[in-house]
Amino acid sequence: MARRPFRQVWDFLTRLKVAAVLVLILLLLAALGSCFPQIPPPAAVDAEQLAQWEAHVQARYGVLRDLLGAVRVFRWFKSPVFLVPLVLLAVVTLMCTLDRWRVVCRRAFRSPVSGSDAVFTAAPHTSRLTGLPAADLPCIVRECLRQRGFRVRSARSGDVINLRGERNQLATLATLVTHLALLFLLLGAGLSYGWGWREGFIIEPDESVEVGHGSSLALRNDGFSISRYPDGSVSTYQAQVAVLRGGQEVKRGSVWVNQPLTCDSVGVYLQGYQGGGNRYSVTLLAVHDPGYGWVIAAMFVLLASTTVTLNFPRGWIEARIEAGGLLRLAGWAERHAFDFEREFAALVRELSHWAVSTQEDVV
Amino acid sequence: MLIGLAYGMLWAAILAYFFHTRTGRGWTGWLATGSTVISLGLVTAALVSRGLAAGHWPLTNRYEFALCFVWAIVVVYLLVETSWRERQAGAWVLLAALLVATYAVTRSPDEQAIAWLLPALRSPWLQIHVLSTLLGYGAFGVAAGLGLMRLVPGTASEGEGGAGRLFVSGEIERTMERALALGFPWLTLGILTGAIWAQNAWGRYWGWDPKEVWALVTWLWYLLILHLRPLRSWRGRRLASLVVVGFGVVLFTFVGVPWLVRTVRLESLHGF
Repeated sequence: MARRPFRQVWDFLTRLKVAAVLVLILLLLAALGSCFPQIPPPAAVDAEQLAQWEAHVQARYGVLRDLLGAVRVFRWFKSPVFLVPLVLLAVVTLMCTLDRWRVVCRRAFRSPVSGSDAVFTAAPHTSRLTGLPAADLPCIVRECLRQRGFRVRSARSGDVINLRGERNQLATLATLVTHLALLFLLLGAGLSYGWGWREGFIIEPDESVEVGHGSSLALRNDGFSISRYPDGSVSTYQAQVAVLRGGQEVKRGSVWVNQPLTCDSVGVYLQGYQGGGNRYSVTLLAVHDPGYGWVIAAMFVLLASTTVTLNFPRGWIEARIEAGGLLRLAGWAERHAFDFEREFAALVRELSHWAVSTQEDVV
Repeated sequence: MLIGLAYGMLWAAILAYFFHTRTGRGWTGWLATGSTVISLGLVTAALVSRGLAAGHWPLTNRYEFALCFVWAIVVVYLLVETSWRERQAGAWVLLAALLVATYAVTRSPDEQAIAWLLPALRSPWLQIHVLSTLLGYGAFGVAAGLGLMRLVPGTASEGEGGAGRLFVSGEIERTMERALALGFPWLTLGILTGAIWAQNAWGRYWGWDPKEVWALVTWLWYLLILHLRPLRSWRGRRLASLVVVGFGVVLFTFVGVPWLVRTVRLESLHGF
């Protein structure tokens, strides 16, 4: 009896509509959050910058500032209002994955060659052909299915021969992989948020600063160069940066806007410059982000699995050959197998050509 | 010059497609497809010449992005027309392209001028990120045109059976879903490559910048459609409505976000 309420909650949360509602809530919350300025990351850890930013917000929103601050619109994407539905969506995604795992694996790896009789009446596409050459029929059907990209298995039961053609059978697993990838993506984002750090520095020429955060690294500005377009606007700029540990140089290189320098899982990014002539100070950003690799790997997996799910739909055709050259066909495909209906009809047409005297009945 | 001609040809193509839908005459169909192909050729020529003149890919501001967006919608549409061997959706789909083209041709001369490449845009990820996003947007534009066609009374017959020259609603929906299936992975790739590029340039793959938030909103919207699609009660006109609204979200991400940033005075690194 104790299992019953749990089962009801489980069944409710694994419904497709619940996931859809959560996605809708999240996108509405994200859209709402985009309408308000968010506290920039440097201000969140620097009291002086935070005071400046709050003064700026106070000037803009006036009396509404306290109210908006109370509902955390300026930290919207880190507020419970946004994070609770996000976590709930992650939980629902995990539950859906667990809920469907067995069924999907069975479909992918253990689909039986011969289904029940009901398949030949209840499947979305069915057909019945007679007058076919009984002796050659298994080979003919097998070849027709193979030519269409189906992987064919067969089984005999007395006088009856069953053949089952499967296409993109493993694609069934892609939905599960997509859901797992989403979970890993959120896990990676959690790692970035919980264990990552960023620190900005303005470094004068030939000077060095400690990176901190227990990294024992220091950065030194060894030079800066800038190139300009004919109208004087900036084309590109780069800083020569040395990474030091205990006063010893462990790495050196050029840092461009799109080309950071990496040392011991700390990335050094060029954010800007000040000065002129031959003396430029550079603004560098040191970043340690243990979640980045997870997030990008998860997104690649997500991309691959959604591509497979949406563009390589699973489909099967089952054939039953009975005594006297009677052939019964049943076909099923996922909704986005857009040409399956046409393909099934073409298969029936092709098979009917083999008949000595055929009666065709396609549904 | 080339863009003006392409814009004119796009209008001509839409009129020809409408005329073809009404009359069903073969020559009007060829005229419509021909105008579309010429329009595409002119946009392609304009983009290539612009790229050669600038010395970089024409993907660096909203004007150039809009031209590429039109190009993507027309290319995806012509692929659909070729595989469908039908032209009845042409007028509806090209309306989406015309909307974006109108945005492009109404930009001020300053916005249309070729600009130097900013240091932040000097990255191979620019081409990969923008082109993959564009292909996604192009497919969503085609899906929206088909959705619009499905919604307008008298353009499609209900159910699966044909009825004269009226297109079968089931066929429209299938093609609309096929366009979504094509577009969603490209949008995902666009967001993924954008994240990699942002990590290289700014040291963070995601920063809740308004443009990033709206890219996420767009992605979530289409994710929602893909989740509602298997539900029988959401098929047909309701799904078509969501797809049309989805294109509105795409357009807002493209042109609405800069407006939002200006109006609400937000900070955004995606100023280009």
